[in-house]
Amino acid sequence: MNTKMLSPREVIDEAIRAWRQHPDAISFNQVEGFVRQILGWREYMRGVYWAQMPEFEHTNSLQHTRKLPGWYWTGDTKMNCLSHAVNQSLDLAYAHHIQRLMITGNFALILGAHPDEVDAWYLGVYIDAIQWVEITNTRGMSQRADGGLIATKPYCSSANYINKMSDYCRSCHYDPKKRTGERACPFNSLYWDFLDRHRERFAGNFRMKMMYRAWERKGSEEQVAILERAAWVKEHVEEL
Amino acid sequence: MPNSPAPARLRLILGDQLNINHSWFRTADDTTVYAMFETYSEATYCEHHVQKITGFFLAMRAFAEQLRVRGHRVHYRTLDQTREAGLNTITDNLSDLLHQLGGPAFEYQLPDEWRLDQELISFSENIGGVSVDSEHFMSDRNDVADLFAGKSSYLMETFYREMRRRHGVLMDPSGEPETGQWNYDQENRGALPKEISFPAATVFDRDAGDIVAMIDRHGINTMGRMQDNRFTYPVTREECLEALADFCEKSPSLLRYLPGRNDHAPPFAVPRQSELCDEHQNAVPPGGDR
Repeated sequence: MNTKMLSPREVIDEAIRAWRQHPDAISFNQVEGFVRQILGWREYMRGVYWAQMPEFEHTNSLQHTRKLPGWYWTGDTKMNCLSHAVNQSLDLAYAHHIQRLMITGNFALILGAHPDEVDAWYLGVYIDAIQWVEITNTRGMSQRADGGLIATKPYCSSANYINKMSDYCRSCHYDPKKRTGERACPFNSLYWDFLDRHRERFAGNFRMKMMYRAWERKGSEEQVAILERAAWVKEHVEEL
Repeated sequence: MPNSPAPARLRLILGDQLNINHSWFRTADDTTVYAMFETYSEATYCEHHVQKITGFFLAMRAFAEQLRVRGHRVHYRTLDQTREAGLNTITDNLSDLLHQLGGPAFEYQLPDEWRLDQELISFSENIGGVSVDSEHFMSDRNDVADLFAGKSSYLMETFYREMRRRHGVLMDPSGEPETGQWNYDQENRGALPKEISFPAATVFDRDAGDIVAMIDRHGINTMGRMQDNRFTYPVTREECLEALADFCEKSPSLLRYLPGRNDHAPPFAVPRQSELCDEHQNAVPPGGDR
């Protein structure tokens, strides 16, 4: 569709036709979710692009500065979810947007990677990536470099969420339940480190109050241990 | 073309403007020349996946061929040709070709990229080029800017409902959503059941060895891999339509788990690795909308 070989209208019509033909196999919420992606998100992101360019290309509201690890280009990491998402992207030039958002994007966000680095990777790796759709999803939706124009809260999560919604963690080198120690999943310490680093910005966000309350409850000793683990993870990010 | 009349106009087609239903192509006219260029600048504005460059070039070549079959005049330059001529950008090639054709009028479709938009605006200023809509999207470039003028955040839901109404998609005659409810994000947020299986994506297998050799020949850095130089995504409209029909036929049950990017709680259904990630069998919406 992004090369315009297909029109959005015919893709929507075809999906609706399939739903009307097989109402037993396809429910209304399914077809609505599909239409929402094309008539909603896709058109909306294009509109955001023209409303915000060229400034959008230089946004970095979280002031992130780190490099993206080299294994985004090789897939060579012991983190099972990232290994799968990156290797699939390198093999197929495709990943589902949930893999893009909650695995590769989430990790880059909580690591604190510079949005230029993240943009370059997403713009390059995906066969459907043309800047209007790539940059709005990457800088806006995923990396929150736009200061909250598109998403009301950052797409950050710990291993808990990945483990709940997928089966990546079951065969992983790392333990999704641990926050500290050698086998602790790096998503956990980075997640809390991200929240702690950006406390001033996000603590007042209504939709993030629960997260900050959970962080407070950990007490200073555990907080220090988690932040130390995060520091180690960041320093050894190439070897994870 | 020895017997062709002098061209009256040159129309540029970019690699992401392969819309055969555009009104430009309604009638064949031998005073109109369509130009398509494989350029170094487009292949290197970032480090692209090798399959991304391959896919664009294959689809562009197929589109040029389709236009020729329909009787249009097409001037196509491969990467070998643009490199050989030392013409590395789209506008380098346009200047050269316009000169070669004796200065016909220049027309182009509005690009989707800001970078190319700027390049073509300043190019057109000098020669009086005319732009037309690409006749693809269901909203105008400025609709979002207009809808949210002065707002510090843009709520997708507001735009989406406006689009549903404007285009009458899943709406009942009274102007309400067909099943009474606008938003089904809650229902669309389930984890995948254990027993789900993913149908194989429709594959269009072709050898891309020549394209890869050409990319290498010109020292273009790429990322990613392409097994045995076999390219498997659709490159023509006919193939895309086949993939779309297959998707709607085979994959409806997946829609429940694969839809919602949204602006609040993340919908989260990571396809199970055993079924999705080890083989080329994910449910790829044709054209790969993110």
